[in-house]
Amino acid sequence: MMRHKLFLILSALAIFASSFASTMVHADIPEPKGDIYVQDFAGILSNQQKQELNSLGRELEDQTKAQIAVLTVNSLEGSSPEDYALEAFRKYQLGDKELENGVLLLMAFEENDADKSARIEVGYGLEGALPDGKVGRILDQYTMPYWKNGQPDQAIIHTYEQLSNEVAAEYGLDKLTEPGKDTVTPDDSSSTNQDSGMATWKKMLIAAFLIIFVIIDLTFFGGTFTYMLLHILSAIARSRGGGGGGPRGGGGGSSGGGGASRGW
Amino acid sequence: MKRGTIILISGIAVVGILIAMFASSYNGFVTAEEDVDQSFSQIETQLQRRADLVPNLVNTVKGYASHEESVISDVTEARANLANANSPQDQATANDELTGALNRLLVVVENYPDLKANENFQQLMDELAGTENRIAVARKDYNEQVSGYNKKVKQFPGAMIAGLFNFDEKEYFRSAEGADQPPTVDFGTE
Repeated sequence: MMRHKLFLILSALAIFASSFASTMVHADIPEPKGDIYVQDFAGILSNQQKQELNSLGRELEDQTKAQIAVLTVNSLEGSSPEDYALEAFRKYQLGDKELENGVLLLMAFEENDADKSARIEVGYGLEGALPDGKVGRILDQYTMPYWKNGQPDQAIIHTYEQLSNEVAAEYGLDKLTEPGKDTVTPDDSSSTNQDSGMATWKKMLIAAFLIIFVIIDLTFFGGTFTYMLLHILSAIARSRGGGGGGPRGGGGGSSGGGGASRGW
Repeated sequence: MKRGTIILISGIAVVGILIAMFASSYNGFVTAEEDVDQSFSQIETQLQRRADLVPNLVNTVKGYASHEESVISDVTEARANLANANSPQDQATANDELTGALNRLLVVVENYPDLKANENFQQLMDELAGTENRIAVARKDYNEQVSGYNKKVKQFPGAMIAGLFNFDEKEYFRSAEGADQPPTVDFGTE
């Protein structure tokens, strides 16, 4: 009996250790900061440029649920741009969960020019709008010329705009090159002011009611209603989108390795 | 309460718990197997896609380098072998063969600057490289699924249920050493 227990504990430890080991192998993708659209870890863009790209990204997401993100890093730490872009894409979960319509522009600013590389990774859902051949042409026409000319910020902006135009066209929208036309951010203060005006006893009553509701639900219905409510609430929160003000995260999309890469 | 009833009730409880564990383990196997099959179909889709690109590429190359017959026929043959392969191992081998043939084709292409500058050819090369990357990704995802599934099949107590219902170990999609590197295409634009 004791031996059996020991065996179980050991195998549990082994499984834990092996799952840990497998995550260690992966490249260190930086945690996303702020809005998902601009992850400028190499510090290429000015604040103004970041804001412009972020509002372009927001507008595109509001209208199409598609997410385009740019990731700049100083080094891929030995990974190939393909592996790095795939991992970053899956970590940031670009694009809507069902539509899988994310795009990632990765630029690696390595010290040696020869190691510099760019990749555009395309989510499953946009492979029709952005086939590899077209993505390669975008890199050739918009990314590499500016970059090699010493204007990496312009390379990012032109590529981002071109990608969002292609995505917008896929969803039947007009071009989106003028960012910040009708963003919904200005009126997000009203909702936060409202609930601070609520009396404390009312809040406590609601909390108590909620707890009883959850307990009853968990004991008799296995949590069905709680789950349903949470689902509805998160759906409402998501559909409100920009109104909430907070930074935008990834939408839950994934990629299967579509896209194109360019070396220096 | 009589001793007999206590034993009976605890007996029923134990059997009930066992059945519940049994069922959830069985369902776990069904789900895992389904996931493995689904990720394998991803590989097959991408292999098919690669095979579909080859005739286009061959035609473009023929337009510029028609007398490089042996290299071109190697590619065509490798493509046919890939279409006929069935098991994961056979497909992996056939895919490697196609990779080798395409690499030899690309070496030959180096001698034809007009072909390399052709926009259609460049686009095909991007599509081909993209598809190769997709195959690599699909293969990685598939092998991860297989590894999780095989662990389940081999480990106690799942091994008992796996044996009972013939959930066998799955085959990995393995490439020959070094064949998993997508061919590096140097257009020599420098």
